[in-house]
Amino acid sequence: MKALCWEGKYSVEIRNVPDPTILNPQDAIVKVTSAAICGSDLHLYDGYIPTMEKGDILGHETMGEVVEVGVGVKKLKVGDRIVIPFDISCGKCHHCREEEYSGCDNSNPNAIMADKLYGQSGAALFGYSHMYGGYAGGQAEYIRVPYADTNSLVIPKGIEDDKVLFLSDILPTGYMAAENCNIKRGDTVAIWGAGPVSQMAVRCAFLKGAERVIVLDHYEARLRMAALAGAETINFDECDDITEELKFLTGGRGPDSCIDAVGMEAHGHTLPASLDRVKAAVGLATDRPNALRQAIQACKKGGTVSIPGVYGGFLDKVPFGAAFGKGLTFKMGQTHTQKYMQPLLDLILAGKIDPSFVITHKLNLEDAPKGYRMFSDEKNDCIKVVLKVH
Amino acid sequence: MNNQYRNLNQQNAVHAKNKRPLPYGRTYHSDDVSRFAVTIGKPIEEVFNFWRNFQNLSFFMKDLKEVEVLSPTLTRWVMELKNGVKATWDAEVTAERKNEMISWKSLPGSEVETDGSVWFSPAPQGKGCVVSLVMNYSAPGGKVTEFITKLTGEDGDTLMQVNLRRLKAFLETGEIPTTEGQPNGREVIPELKH
Ligand SMILES: NC(=O)c1ccc[n+]([C@@H]2O[C@H](COP(=O)([O-])OP(=O)(O)OC[C@H]3O[C@@H](n4cnc5c(N)ncnc54)[C@H](O)[C@@H]3O)[C@@H](O)[C@H]2O)c1
Ligand SMILES: [Zn+2]
Ligand SMILES: [Zn+2]
Repeated sequence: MKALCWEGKYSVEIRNVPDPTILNPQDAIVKVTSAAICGSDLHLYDGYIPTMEKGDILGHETMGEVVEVGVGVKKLKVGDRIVIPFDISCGKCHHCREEEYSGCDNSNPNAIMADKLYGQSGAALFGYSHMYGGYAGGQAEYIRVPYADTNSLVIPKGIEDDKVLFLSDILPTGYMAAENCNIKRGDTVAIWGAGPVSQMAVRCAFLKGAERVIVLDHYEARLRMAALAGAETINFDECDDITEELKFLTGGRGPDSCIDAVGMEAHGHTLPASLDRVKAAVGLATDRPNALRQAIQACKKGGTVSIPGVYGGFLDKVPFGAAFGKGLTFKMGQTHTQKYMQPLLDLILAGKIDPSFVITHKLNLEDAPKGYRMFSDEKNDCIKVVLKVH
Repeated sequence: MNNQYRNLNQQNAVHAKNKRPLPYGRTYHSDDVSRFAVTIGKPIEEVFNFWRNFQNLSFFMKDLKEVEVLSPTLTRWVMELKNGVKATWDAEVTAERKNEMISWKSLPGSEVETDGSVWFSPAPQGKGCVVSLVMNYSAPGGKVTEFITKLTGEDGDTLMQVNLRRLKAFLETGEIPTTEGQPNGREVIPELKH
């Protein structure tokens, strides 16, 4: 089959590889119909995530048709049309039973790596480095899905891929980011980044009762997309002091909650931001937490900082004194996708939300390398790329 | 494990196996060199029985090819590394309390010297069974440990941690997670190459 393989920093290629096969009883094989490229994939593309190997198949936002099931699969049947969550969860361990799916104890065969680096290993992820399990991803013609009954959501016939594909990641991620804000009616939520995750978070924050949502980015087209949902926007290139600006916009109090939907590769032209780049280059610090710093600085006293943006290693100059001084709450982590898929599908079917608005580009699998380039380098116009596979 | 530790272990081997995993709030005696614990979401009886049927151990212990049960207390262990290097040793059960603990020791003169205890105790909040393993191992000439390290990049202690995780996964889900045999772009298929 054809699959999109990671070949090194800034290099991905379509390769012919063997078809996946059932390796464990609860596996299923899925013929992929649509697969999206995620901001998280860019962290791999940019070489920010350790333990990648040349030839690894990427992709974790996937849907398709079940073509084969292992003997241990009880619910899923050949012919079912499913969305596959990006995290791989066993469905049986303590964390899975508590619906903390991204904390699954059992799915990661390389858990020992994360055990040593983080103290504990979370769930494995599709197509996301060997530390996260080394599972082949879904930007390919076929994908093997472990623990298939847990890692699937069956989609009713008659609803197109584009409306449900993002149940695999960014819609639940935006939803959990908003839920983690503990929004009360009338709240103001500030969101750093206007990428796909942010776009979902904007809509979900309003759904959760926020009165105002303020989005920060420096790509006008992305900010416009957020404004379409009713968000106020700030282009940070045109703003000298973001904390002051947000204070002004919120009557001096600061936003009730702040979402960092940017993660470890924040841009910035401030002195710390350029220092971060240098330090990351020489290995002194691994992440560039510019958005996180601002979110902490801007948040109101007793407010919540919700962090869906991904971090991998060590952060430099995080204003922890500000966080302590204001008594902030932090909520973060990989999304418990399986927990949110069904309720969010219900919202989609009820016409309450249609995440397909975020798609700006549809490409064939063969053109995936071009998709990566555009999503990485032409961020203004290219907001979300969906690969059409079968 | 260096020699200094090995001697310490031998002195402590006897009382190490009489030590219970201590009640919450206390830790093991600090001279037990290799200690691991894992919580398995299954009843104690089930976990104990699985372990006590020693031939089951090769299901989840990496590189352990076979455990042959010679008598209720005597077992023969065959370890085979990927490069074909083999090690065999016999071990006997030296103490056992049903659903609570098992201790073992390799017979004198074995290629691999090992002794230790495994304890089974209830986890809080109905989370199942805590398996606590306290063990010493060494191979004269360093044969086994050396090869393990060379091949897997894992030292013996890491390997045991991996093994306990695999035990947990196997008992909780009925399978051990793997990616061995999945496709990747490292193996080029010549006839399809473009
Ligand atoms: N927690 C999870 O489970 C989960 C799931 C999916 C994605 N993510 C993460 O969410 C983040 C966003 O994903 P995405 O797909 O939207 O990515 P994206 O790269 O398309 O969007 C990031 C946006 O942040 C903007 N940005 C950069 N620096 C900024 C700054 N200092 N202030 C404000 N905005 C800034 C960029 O211009 C860009 O528009 C990534 O880190 C991704 O890995 C996490
Ligand atoms: Zn993603
Ligand atoms: Zn689990």
